[in-house]
Amino acid sequence: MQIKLVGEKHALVVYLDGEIDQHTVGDIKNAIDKEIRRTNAVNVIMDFRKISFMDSSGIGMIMGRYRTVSLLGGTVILYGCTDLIQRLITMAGLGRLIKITNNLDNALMLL
Amino acid sequence: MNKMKLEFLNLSENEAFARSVASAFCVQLNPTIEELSEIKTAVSEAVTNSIIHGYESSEGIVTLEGQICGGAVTFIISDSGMGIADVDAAREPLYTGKPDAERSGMGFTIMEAFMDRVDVHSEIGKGTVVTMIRRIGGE
Ligand SMILES: Nc1ncnc2c1ncn2[C@@H]1O[C@H](COP(=O)(O)OP(=O)(O)OP(=O)(O)O)[C@@H](O)[C@H]1O
Ligand SMILES: [Mg+2]
Repeated sequence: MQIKLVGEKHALVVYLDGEIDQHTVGDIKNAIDKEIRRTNAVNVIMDFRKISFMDSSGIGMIMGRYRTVSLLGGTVILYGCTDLIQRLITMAGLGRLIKITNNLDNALMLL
Repeated sequence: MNKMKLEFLNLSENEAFARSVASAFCVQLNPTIEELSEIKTAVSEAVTNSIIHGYESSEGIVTLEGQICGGAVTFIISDSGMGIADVDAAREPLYTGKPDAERSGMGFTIMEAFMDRVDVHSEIGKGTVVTMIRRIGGE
């Protein structure tokens, strides 16, 4: 996983890879939270193109990051999700809170 | 008819192992990629629940059994952990017994959405058995 700052948008771009489950989610949460504190970013963009699997542990991770940044006036945007992952997000009602788009350019344009 | 049984320690690294075994076991029914992904997700939910809620921080064994009969696959995920006091409440969407742990409470809802049938038997102090059935392919 890599995290890059897009300063003019106060946004972190999180390049996720592999599988998101209870085993891997802790490191992802810690890395994002640390970067939010270090950079004062208020928006989190997650690149899901290399995520082949996610279960409810990932929904909790997204909800938690949304809670943090929405208090700072920011938002969470996802791009490159599989259909199945989008269905999980919709099922959890997260579709009304975060934004989902198809690539980084579009994600940045939403900010 | 086919059967398999897998027992493993409640370590979170075994989640990926268990769902991969479940998916490989289904392959003989020629599922679509979509069917396989849904089954993998449902199995992952039940296994994760046994690992983190069943035993919390103590050590225990989680069992994953698979059965293929006709065109349907059944998975039985069980633990001998603490059990669930109110199964109907636990199955409600967004219900979590661990609200401070950043859990979404969507595990059972996802199992129900992706499997044709999900039965939960649980006894306090004895453990939990989740049985899930999915028919593969068209009717
Ligand atoms: N095997 C189990 N042993 C003991 N309690 C369980 C077990 N499975 C589920 N539970 C209880 O049922 C609740 C709901 O489970 P569910 O999977 O729907 O949500 P969650 O695990 O809390 O959150 P999520 O799955 O979204 O990360 C759990 O919070 C827990 O209290
Ligand atoms: Mg769960």
